[in-house]
Amino acid sequence: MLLLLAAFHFASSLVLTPVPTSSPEELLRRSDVGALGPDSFRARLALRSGSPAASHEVEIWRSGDAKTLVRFLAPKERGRFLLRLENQLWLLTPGAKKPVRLSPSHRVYGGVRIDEVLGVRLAANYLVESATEEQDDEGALIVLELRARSEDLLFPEVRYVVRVATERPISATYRLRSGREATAVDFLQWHEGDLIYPSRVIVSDLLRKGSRTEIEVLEMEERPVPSELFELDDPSARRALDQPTGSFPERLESTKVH
Amino acid sequence: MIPASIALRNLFRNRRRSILSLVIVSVGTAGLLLTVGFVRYSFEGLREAIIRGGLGHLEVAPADALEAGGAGADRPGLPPSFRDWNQVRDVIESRPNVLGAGATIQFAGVATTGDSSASFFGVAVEPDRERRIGIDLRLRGGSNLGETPPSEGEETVLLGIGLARALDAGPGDTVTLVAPTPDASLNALDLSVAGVFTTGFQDLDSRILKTHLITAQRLLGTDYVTSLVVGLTDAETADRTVADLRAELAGHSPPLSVLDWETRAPFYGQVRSLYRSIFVFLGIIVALLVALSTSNTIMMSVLERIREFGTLLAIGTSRTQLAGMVILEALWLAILGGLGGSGLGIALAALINVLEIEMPPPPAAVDPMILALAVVPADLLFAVAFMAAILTVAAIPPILRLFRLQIVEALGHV
Amino acid sequence: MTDAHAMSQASPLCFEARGLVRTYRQGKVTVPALSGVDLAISAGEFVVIAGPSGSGKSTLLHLLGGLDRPDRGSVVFAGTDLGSCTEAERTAIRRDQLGFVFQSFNLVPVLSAYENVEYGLWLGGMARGERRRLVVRALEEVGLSERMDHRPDHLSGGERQRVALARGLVHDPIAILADEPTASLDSRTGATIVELFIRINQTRGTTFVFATHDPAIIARAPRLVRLGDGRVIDDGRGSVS
Repeated sequence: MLLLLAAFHFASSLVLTPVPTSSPEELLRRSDVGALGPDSFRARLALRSGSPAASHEVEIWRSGDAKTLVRFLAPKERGRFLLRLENQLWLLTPGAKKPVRLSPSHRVYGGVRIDEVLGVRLAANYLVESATEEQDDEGALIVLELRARSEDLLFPEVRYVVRVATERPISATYRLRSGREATAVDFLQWHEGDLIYPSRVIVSDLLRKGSRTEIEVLEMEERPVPSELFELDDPSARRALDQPTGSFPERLESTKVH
Repeated sequence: MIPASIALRNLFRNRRRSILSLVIVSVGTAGLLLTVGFVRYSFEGLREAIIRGGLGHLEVAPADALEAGGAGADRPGLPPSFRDWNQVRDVIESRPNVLGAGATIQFAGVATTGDSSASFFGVAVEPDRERRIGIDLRLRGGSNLGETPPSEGEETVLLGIGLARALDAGPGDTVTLVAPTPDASLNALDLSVAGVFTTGFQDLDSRILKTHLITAQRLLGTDYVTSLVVGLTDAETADRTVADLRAELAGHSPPLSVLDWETRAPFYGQVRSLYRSIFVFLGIIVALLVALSTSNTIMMSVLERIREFGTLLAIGTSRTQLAGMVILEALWLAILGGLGGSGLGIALAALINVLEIEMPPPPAAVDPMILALAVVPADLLFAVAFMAAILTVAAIPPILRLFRLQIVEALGHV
Repeated sequence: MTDAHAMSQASPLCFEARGLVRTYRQGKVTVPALSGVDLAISAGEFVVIAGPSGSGKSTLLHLLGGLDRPDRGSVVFAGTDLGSCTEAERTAIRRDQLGFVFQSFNLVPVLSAYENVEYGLWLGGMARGERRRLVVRALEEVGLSERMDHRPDHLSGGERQRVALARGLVHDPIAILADEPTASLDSRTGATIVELFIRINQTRGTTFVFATHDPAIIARAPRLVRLGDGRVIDDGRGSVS
């Protein structure tokens, strides 16, 4: 499920436009991976983890902040979906007639409670506690120490490192209430073009040593996503995704494909 | 002139005292026998419960899986990694003393009915192999899994009685299992509850569920299994078979581990050492009681015969020979008392077994226990030998007295 | 040069006691039993040691038989100084070369007359057939061949003492030491037993040392040694008639 959260994380972080720095708060807002994505898109991701690396492909359909559908593309995983509606997470599989509700804090994969990481809008949920400047081989960095606005968030602290020149984050490290680092997201590559988004990300579960998932964006298109896909109790639209031709996706006009 | 016969005659010079000693030795022997019988019955019962409860006599699994998961059976966190289990099974099942080798998958996840959820520890088995191996299922409702693998959508499950209670589910209800798959994904499967069972252990009953191998493979999206559970025609051949199979499977890649049931149920070893300490403690108490009381008897019989011993020394008996006589008398006490006690023990054991006395369930167990004893001929030998040892020790103080005896004093002793 | 020493020149000595001193402790009191006894007994002699109670008769017998060790002095039996023997050697001497007859017979109650007599031979490791021959002969000699299977409690006092005598002589010892062997018998039986002792002394040539205060026996003593206060007060010599 680390894959999933990484995917979500990813999916929420699409367009980043470099803007001259003003204040740390402004920098956070501009570089906020979770807030700047397109409202509605389809993406295809490759998720690799383990040793030897097992590769999964998933398709992500997203419509606004509230609705996300993850479709598993591996042949033996056909028909399996994860559906996020607001704060609810559902597992939909052909073997189970009814959707299975998963707690967003359920340790579903890699020991990570995805809810706190998934689609976290840093600028909206965190305050900048401190901002320090650092240097690496490629230039200046701003290290933002973020503190949660609400007590309810699982990760009260985030260390968010932003490259000054690009105003793009290079890593986000989430800490537990105990101060222990739980999850780290490293943004390795960025897709340049009309849509700017991180094309390669590593998500590390720091609570389980060696648990790393690499996410690569294979396809990304900004497009309207029909709301039928997110119908919890009616799987017909989702089923249509698996139909060979004349299937559901073709009825929708793509806006952009990258 | 047979020393043993003389010793026996001497023993019955003071009939009353000797009979009292014999009673003490007999009761001690019977007590020991009953304890041994109880311990043996408990061991055998526990062993059978463990073996028939699903562990089988042996388990063959990829070595790394066993190492990572420990020797115990409880390693559901690891994905099944046994790829060519079918071929290995053929090798194992070709042995004449193998009843069968059933593939199993151990897995974990969350079971839900929609209204309630509980985490589970799943054991997926092949019911036909389980039957051949002789693995019992203690059903508490509903029926066992069918022997033929279910087709998709017809999957069934047996719930541990505590898990069934937690889910508020019974036979006929549908339960959805959600489990992480070996490829780091998550899957769910609807299963119809066929029955409710108990393992005999409360703790396990609240987590365990049993299903078909194929069901778990569908849920996990794998053809692999966790291990092969092997049933033998005779538990006594387990050690030899472990050694043989280790040799036979030595070249397998990846390496396979072959473990006997005792290694896989460290609990059994713990219980056994606990029982053993209790038994040793009891044995020491019995030994002390018997030794103290019979030592006194032997001492009295020696003191009463001081003049006789003086005479025997005077006419050329060595002190070692006198000591031998005393030991012979003590040994007679041990043998007669041991035999009497054996008879008494066997009779009591038979009586107890017939009465089927019900005992409260042992800690963490579910069912009450029937008090029963298993006494075997070797125990009788052991009991007599043990008594012989105790009485030889008990004869030491009187013998020391004999070694200090002054002949002249002894002759003048009245 | 003592008498005893002079005698040893003439016939082999069976016992030679020199300067025997033996004191017993009773609590804090020391009781002298023998206060310097010299005695020489030739092989084949029949010696009666007489004296009142406490005169040291039994003590002398015990020292001669190697049952006890003197505080001072020495006992040489058949050429062997008992004082220089180990306990095992003295045990072997008692078993093979000496016979003992006690006042209270001291038979083993659980053994038959036959077994009581056989016991010493068995201790010595003699073969069963040879044992049987000797035991039967000894019991015949004391006139008990008919009652050899009886246990002591089924025998009269005289019979018991005969068994005891048979036990003492079955292995054909050099000497038999008898401590008041008639004291527990009525006078007629006692006289018979004494007759038996004398006869065996004559037929087998076994040396007899006989402690008693029975006047009837004393009267018949071939050699009478009187003890008083732990000393020899009279050593009258004679020969059995």
